[in-house]
Amino acid sequence: MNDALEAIIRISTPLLLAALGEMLLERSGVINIGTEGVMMAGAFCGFYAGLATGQPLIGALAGMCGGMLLMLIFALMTLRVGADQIVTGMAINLLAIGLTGTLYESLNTGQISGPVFSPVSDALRNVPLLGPLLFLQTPLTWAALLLIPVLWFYLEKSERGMELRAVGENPAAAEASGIAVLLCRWKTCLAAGAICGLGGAFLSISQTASFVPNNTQGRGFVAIAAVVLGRYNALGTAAACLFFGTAFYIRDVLPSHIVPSQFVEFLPYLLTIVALCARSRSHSAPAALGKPYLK
Amino acid sequence: MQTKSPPPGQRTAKNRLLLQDASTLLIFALVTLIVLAVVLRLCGQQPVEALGALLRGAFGNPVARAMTAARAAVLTFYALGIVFSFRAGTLNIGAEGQSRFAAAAATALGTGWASGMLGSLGVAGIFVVLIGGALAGALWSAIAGWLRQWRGVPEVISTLMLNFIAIELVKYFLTRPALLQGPTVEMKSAGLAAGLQLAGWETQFHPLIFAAPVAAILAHFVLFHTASGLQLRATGLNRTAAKTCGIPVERIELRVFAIAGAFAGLGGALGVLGNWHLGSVPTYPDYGFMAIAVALVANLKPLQVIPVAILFAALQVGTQSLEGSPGLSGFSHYMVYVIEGLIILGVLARGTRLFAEPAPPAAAEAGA
Repeated sequence: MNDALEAIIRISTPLLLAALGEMLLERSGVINIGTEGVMMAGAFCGFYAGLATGQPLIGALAGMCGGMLLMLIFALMTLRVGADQIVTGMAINLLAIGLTGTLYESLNTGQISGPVFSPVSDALRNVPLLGPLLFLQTPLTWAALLLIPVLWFYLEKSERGMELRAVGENPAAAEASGIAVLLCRWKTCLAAGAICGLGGAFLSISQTASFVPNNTQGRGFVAIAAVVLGRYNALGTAAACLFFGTAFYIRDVLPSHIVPSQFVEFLPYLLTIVALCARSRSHSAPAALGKPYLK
Repeated sequence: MQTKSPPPGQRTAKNRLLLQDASTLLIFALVTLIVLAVVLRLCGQQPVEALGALLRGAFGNPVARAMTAARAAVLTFYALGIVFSFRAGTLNIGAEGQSRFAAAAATALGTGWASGMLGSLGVAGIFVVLIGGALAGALWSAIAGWLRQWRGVPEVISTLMLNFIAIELVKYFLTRPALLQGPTVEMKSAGLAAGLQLAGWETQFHPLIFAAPVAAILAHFVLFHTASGLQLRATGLNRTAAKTCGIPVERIELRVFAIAGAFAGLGGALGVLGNWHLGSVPTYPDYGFMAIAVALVANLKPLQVIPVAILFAALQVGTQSLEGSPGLSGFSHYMVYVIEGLIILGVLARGTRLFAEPAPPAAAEAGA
């Protein structure tokens, strides 16, 4: 039981970080289907910075920077040039897999392992519930869990968050009421890059101690699914991530003839489509989602 | 006859347009080469030598040329579907999933209970498999179209999600002996019936690939010289206005979803026929995503799709050959992705409006 709880939270962490970052971005009216790529950049930068310095913390920061770097390109294209967000997102994915793969092969580090975060407190592992849920997790998981209420409060209760939501719902009206729409979206893009990048870095400096190209294995797309399923708010998104994390855990422990692993793999995507069908009348997606805004 | 030919002013406008198209393509080829050279330099290669090797790898011998041509044909099919979609204002990015689902359907036809009969039919059997693939692709794509009409599900999300569902579903089919799994343990289907195996297993080169340029010419004709093509483009340019004019936009959109899926399905079925079986990784993996870049670089014009597809196919084949060559140890096939990503960003930065044509072509076409 403890093992299961520990594993589910661990598996959910990268999903949580990526989905929360994406959720924040989508609330400002920008959709990035390049989350997968941003995570890859985070995993790559996180691992090699950690390897170079021996400090997982430096790795985590570098992972955030890597994610921000890719989102800088994304923001330039979508916010400055006014390019289509979906196609730009696809380009971001291609760039990320290409760059990390090429650099990985030219660095030629092979199966070397780098530094990893250790659990917060191994001594407290036997505390019921809190042990596996918190103390056996690494600081990155704490960051992810902490981000849930923080983002919820920021988006739903703070004035800044309200401005961000206004930008996502009706940028023209927001601009007219004195909010700098593009500036807000620029900041959100970079923040989302940092959060998603950290989610990627978790894979290479916390969950494992190594980096191989494409180690994100579709988690970025699951994160996009979680945002839709979680109805574009922090609590719902987090719940969706935990649900997917549980499903992936079940897939890993059950023999494949009971539940075919492929069915679990496509569960998030199927549920997303179902959710989109079910909720078409309530319109919880930001009204201006995906629409370019140029002054 | 005199009255039917366009006035001289419009004719020069059209010529200028052609020149513009040609120069854009040339610039793109050049930019690709320069980007490639820079990336190669960064990887510690001699750019000129490596580029030469890449070109030789893509065009240098009959086998290479055949491989490039076969891949260009498949990319052309996929990209034509995307051209139709984007022209009609539907952002269908599901070619990858549609082609994989179609490949599974083609495999079912070619290895299932009907395979013996189809194999004995010869060319007709091959056509049945191709049509089956196209239908399956159209069906998979129509799901997204139907969801959009029924519930307003944005097709961007649904086609993206359907990609992954198709990928996993086909993998599942390949792990069940009752479905597609062949006699071997790995995720691989049985071989196709003898009569369905297209010639040229190594290169996937066969006469059928010449259907791709024919399809491009047909697509050009349909898009720019028929009433339904005009309606389709009108739907993409301004849906509300088109609807007000009495154009059945919903029906057109659904039809475009099916057309795009059918094109992707043809490519997927062709991959199976050329490779004689279906593996967990299809014959042309990720071409559904690559085709989006092809369609964009081709400016959503069917005739331009052909040279752009050749360029992209050459890039694929060339990098594959470079990867194995001695003395180029720093070379990685991942570079193709970097180049593709940069090309897409380049197209977007050029200011290509996806759903609206720049003013001059629209005016020229209206007059023609």
